Amino acid sequence: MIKTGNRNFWITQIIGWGIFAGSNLIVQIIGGFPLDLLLTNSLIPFSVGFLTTTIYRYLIKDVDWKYWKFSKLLLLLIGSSSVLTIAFMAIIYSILFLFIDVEFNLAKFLSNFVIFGLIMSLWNFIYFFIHYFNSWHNSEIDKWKLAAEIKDSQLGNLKAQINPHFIFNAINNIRSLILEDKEKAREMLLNFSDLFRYSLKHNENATVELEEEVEIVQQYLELLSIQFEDKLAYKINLENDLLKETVPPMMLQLLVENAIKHGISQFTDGGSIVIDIHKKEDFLLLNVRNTGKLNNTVKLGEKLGVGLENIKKRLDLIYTGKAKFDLTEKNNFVTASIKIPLI
Amino acid sequence: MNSCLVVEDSRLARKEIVALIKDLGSFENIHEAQNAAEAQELLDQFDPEVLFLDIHLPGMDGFEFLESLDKIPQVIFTTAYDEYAIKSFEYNAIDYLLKPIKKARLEKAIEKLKTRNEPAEPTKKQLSLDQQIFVKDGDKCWFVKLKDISLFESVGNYSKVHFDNQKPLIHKSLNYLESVLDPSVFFRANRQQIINLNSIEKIVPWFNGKLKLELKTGEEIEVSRRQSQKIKNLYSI
Repeated sequence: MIKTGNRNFWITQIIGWGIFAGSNLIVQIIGGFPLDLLLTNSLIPFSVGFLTTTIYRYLIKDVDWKYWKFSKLLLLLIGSSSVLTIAFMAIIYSILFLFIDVEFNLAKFLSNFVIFGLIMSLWNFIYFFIHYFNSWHNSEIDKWKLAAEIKDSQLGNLKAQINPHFIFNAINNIRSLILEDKEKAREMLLNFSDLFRYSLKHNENATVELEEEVEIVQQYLELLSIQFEDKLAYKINLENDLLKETVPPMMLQLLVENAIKHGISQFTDGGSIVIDIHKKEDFLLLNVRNTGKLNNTVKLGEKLGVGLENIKKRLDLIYTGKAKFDLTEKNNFVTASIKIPLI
Repeated sequence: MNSCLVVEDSRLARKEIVALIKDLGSFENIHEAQNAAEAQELLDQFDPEVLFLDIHLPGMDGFEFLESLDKIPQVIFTTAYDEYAIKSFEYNAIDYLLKPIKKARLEKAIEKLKTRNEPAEPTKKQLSLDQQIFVKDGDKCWFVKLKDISLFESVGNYSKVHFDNQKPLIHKSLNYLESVLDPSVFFRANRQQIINLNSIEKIVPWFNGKLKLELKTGEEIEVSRRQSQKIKNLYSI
């Protein structure tokens, strides 16, 4: 904005004053003025006008007048136009008296004062108009961008619900399983459809009963098991009296997905995942523990923690800062833990 | 074709693609590996012509595996879903198969390989000019034939590979490269650079009996004194 604004200023400035000097010159040539007068009458006002307005612009540039009240802005316009005109006239007349030695003519002085007063006001008006228009235009663009971003992030959240890499691997594995174990393949398709329906059904901010979420995670793990087979061992520890507690949907699933992506799938021998859900004081604790290390080199352009960052944001939104998320490493195990207040 | 190697970590997925390849009957032998280490062993043992390579592998992923190899067979990537990788493949016309794999699509990929000219049989250790290397630079990747490389430049333990206006890094030292490249084409000009003799545009006498080479790509290479003598002998200057 500053850069193009700068260039635009110089272009407008040169063209504007150029038109002023040029038209002045033409009028005087037609009027048959002598050559030396032509120069003083065009060149000097042009240079002085150019100079004073340029200096004025540097003074006004950093003033944040765009949100001023109209009356205040009008006052600024009138005041600055007057100061500009007085400064301009003072310089012009000093030059005329000092170097060219002309006689003072009051009528001419007054008419010049009015004419240049108008020219300076016009300059001022154009300057303010252009800047006002620009800032309005930019704020319109910003509004559009913001609207697009909001939409994007909503779509992004929806897409993040089930990882497409998982979906296609699951389909591919089930396809192969059909030849090997028809009954198991049929069962896996049910798991897949349950998981997919569940992810479509629940929106971002509602909560579901733990029973339902754990059931889905169980099915998700079964689907992962046809990919990893004996390279994935898992266990879910959940006390029965917690089944009716509520949690955000797909959150436990996302923790397991992360455990797979950054843990199990990185190792030739795979590893294990332990999900542990229990109550402590007035909080519900969800722990997902997997073989692996934190900051394991991240590959294929994927950032570690985008998914986890989203979990944090969702927790903040739903529990207004009362929930907590943590990621820790101990003895070659990484634990992701969520602490949710019991209602 | 004689043999191929399928590298894929999921047993069911491996079974699936192997069955498809068998059905097409293009290969006499189909070898299977479930990770990079196993693949390396089978490559050394059987020297297969074609590699079906999953991008996601435990330990070392498909790209890292290729980067670690000196001699690369024809490669067809397989993946379930990888936005970034697929974008870079399309950019470079590298072939890939999406899982689940369609038989017709697999057939097409194999046909395409057959129509490509067969690389000349390399001697035991040295690489022939038709041999390709795999280079990856951020999210772009290439298979580059050695004869298309004009210059290797040393950057610590890495070397910068110049070809086609690109100059990505590979994790191989210049000394190592010198030991495997064909010395009748690739010439060690100085401590920092190995040049492709076919890419020389002009040889200019420099001071102290040294020579300066101008490459077709515009680079100017100063040849060390000892190596200058070799060039002079080679071209009988």
